[in-house]
This record gives sequence, C-alpha cells and structure tokens, in this order.
Amino acid sequence: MLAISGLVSVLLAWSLVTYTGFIKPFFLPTPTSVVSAAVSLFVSGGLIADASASVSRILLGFLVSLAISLPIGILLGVSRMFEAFVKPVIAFVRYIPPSAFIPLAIIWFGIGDSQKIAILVIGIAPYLALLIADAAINTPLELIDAGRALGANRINTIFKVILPSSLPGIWDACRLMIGAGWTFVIIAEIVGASSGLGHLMIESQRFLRTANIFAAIIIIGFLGLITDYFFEITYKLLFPWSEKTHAGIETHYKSV
Amino acid sequence: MLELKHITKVYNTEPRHLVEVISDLTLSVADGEFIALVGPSGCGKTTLLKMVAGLVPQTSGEIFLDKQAVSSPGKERGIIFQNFSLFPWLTVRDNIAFGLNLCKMDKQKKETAVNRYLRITGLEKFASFYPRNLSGGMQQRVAVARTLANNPRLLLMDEPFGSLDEQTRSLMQEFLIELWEKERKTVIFVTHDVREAIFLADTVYVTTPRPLAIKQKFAIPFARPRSHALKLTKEFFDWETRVAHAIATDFGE
Repeated sequence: MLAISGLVSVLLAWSLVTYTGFIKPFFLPTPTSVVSAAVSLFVSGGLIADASASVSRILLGFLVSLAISLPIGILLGVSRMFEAFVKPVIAFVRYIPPSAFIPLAIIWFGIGDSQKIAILVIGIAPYLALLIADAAINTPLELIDAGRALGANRINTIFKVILPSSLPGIWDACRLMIGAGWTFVIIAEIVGASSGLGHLMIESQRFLRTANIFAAIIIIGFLGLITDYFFEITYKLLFPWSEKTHAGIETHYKSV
Repeated sequence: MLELKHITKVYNTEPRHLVEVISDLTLSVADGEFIALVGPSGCGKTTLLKMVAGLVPQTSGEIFLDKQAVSSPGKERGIIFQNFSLFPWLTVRDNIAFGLNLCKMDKQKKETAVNRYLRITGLEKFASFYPRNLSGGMQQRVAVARTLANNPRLLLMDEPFGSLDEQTRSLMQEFLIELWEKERKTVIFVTHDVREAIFLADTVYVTTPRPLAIKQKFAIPFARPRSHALKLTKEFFDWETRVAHAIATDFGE
C-alpha cells in the first residue's frame, strides 16, 4: 500500500504542475500525453524493439562481466598475494569513468552491440569484482577454521566454505550492478547507436518530442522495478538459510 | 597419548610489542582421558586448542599425538567451538555430513554414519532444518554430531556450552557425559565454569590467564557413570570450593 502511494504522490504532483499549465508541455508533458506517446511507440513496435535492444545488451554485458569478475573477485577475497597484484589495476580502471572509453570503443568495435557490451563490461566488471571480493572476505573465520578442522583442503575451503558463504552477497552485488548497467548502456546509446532506448531518447530530442523521452525514461523505471523484484524473490528462494532481515527499524520502535 | 611439550605462543600485535599468551606449557593427556582446563577467560585457552587442532602454529614447543608431531589439521582431532560455527547454508544433515563428503567414501556408509549421529544427538526430526531455525542447544548438538561423524580420537571443546542458558547447559553436560561413556574419546574441555569442569572431567587443570600456564592439577575421584544428582552432594561441593579457591588465589601464593 505504502509502495503504491509513493508512486501515486509523484504522479499527483506531476499532474498538478502540468494540467494547470504551470509548466509548459514542451518542458514537461502531461501524464496523458506521455502515456499516449508510449502507446503509439508501442503500437509502431519501436518501443519494444528499442527496449529489448537495451535489455539484451545489459544482460549480455552483465553476464560477460560476471564471468570475468567471479573468479577474480573470489581470488581477491582469498589470496593476499593476488590482491596485491591485481588491486592497483582495478583501482586505476575503476576511477576512469566508463564513458571516457566510449570514443575508443567506437574506434575498436564500431557502434554495434559489441561496443555497448564493451562499455558495460568496463563499467561493471571492476566494481563487481570488488563487491564479490568483499563478500568473500567477510566469510567468518570460524567457518573456515571449522572446515579445515573437518578436513577441508585449500580448494575445498574455497568451493565448500567461502563460495557458498558469499553467494548472498554476490547476488546482492549482481542486483546493484545490473542497475548500474542502465547508466552505461544509455550513455553508450546516446553517443552512438542505431537502436536502444538511449537512441530513442536522443532521436526524440532532435525532433523535440519531449513526451517520447519521458515515455522511454518511465519504461526504464518499470524495467528497473521488475529487475529489483526478480532479485528480491530469487534471493528468498535461493538463500532460505540467510538471516538477512527485511523487518525495518519500525518494528523495533513500535510506539510513536 | 597426547603430549604438549614446552608450548609457548607469542603474538606480535604491533611493532615491538609482543604479547605472550601461552608460557612454557607442558601437559600430557592419556588415551580416553577427559581433562578440563578451567581458569579466568583470556585468549590463551582457545589458542591452545587451536594449536592442538593444527589451526594455529605455536611459537615454540612441540605437540605429539601418539608420538606423531602435530603441525596441520587432521581428522583424528575434532574441535567444537563456543559459537557452534555451523555452516548456515547447509541443513543439519549436510552439516553433519560435511567432513564425510570431503573424503571418498561409500555413499551407503556415509548415510549410515550421518543417521547414527542424528539419532545419538536426537536430531532426526530436524535433519532438513537450517541452523538458523534451531535453538542454541540444538545447534551445539549439530556441531558435536558433525565433529563426531568424522570419528576423531581426540575431541577439543572450547567452552562449548558457554553461550547456552543454565538449563540447556545442564542437559548438554549430561548428553556429553553419556556420549563419552559410550565412545571414550580423549577430551580436552575448556570452560570457566568450575562445576562443569568437575562434573565432566577426570582431571581438572586450573590455569592462569595471560600468559596461560598450568597452576594446579586436580584428579577428580568421582566414579562413573556420573549423573546430575552428583552435583547436589557435599563431596561435589567440597571439590567445587577447593578448585574455586585455587583459581582465586594469586599465582605464587
């Protein structure tokens, strides 16, 4: 209930400033014109094509990032020697904005999917590796000791203690970085692309179709909501053993 | 026979600041003997158990189990921690099977061993539970079962019942003593509860804190099997007073 009323109050404020003519439709179109823009984009098929182009880029870019970051992150969390070797490289890449690589990526890969995926990987992989390393490092020492005392060797300790212990943290990191993926894909599509929601926005801007830009933004918001919901549900399904609480501070301070 | 010879442990906490936590400790434990180390809390006793388990190296001195030097973890030495340290992502059954799953072992045999310890610890009904859904006493029984399933000869217990409430603790002591009567493992039991030490052990060693050293040795004469009623006798109370006095008096007095 509270979740819906949060969105409704934003919608109310938006209606108030647009229908009254307080803000001109050129800058902020009315909710109805955004909906009708979305509907006509949907009917023409452009919206679905662009949205699925962006989504598939994010998914692919994310999966490539995960494939790179998982082993590197776990090794970072496990080995101080590997950490000393790799961490400066990651720190260096991490502080360069991924958008700074776009011109280079266009020279190397053109403006197709592979260029978008390259930008996504540059943006996601270093952070994901560090988040995974953090999850691995937080494995309680006692569990590692318990495993060793029960006969676990180095490999057993990594695969049977550290990895399962850090999976919930890794899952949360995935949720976070898929969200960040939108930032990178939209920038890459705005700079140079022939499809995708970013492309739709920059095209709409050229033709001053403000409502279309809003339609695209709102679609991204909804896709984000769905993604979040997906991770929340899968988290509960995959890690029924986790003690993570969703109770919130209100439960501890009931009286007003 | 477990022999600790002149064990010393020094931690290098910060540059030029060395902390000696164990000082020249010599101790031998016979096969099937149940000993208790009792004394004020400090990190020395936990460190000592971890050394015997092979998890922490000593600074100097040697540890022998049946004349074999101990330098790394081994299945013949099982350790049980105060905080249970169960793997939260594994069910009770899989926690108990953890050690068995690491070695190549006949599936049928594995199953039999796990079922046996589920039964001994009274956890059959909770086999598919995750640790988070169990009470403290049950969690510690899982930890005991997990260690026993590996069939160690030496059991190292680090204040295993320290975080349990009084009633559960009492029940767990009886559970342990019954188990020990059956299996007769060699046990080193660390506690700061004098009554617990006297009730369980054949030999009680009173230790000093920081650095850890043996202060006094008491051979507890009570016959076995022992039951809860023992704790209410005058003899038990006398022993309690004697050991408590040894703890309270300053070293060198």
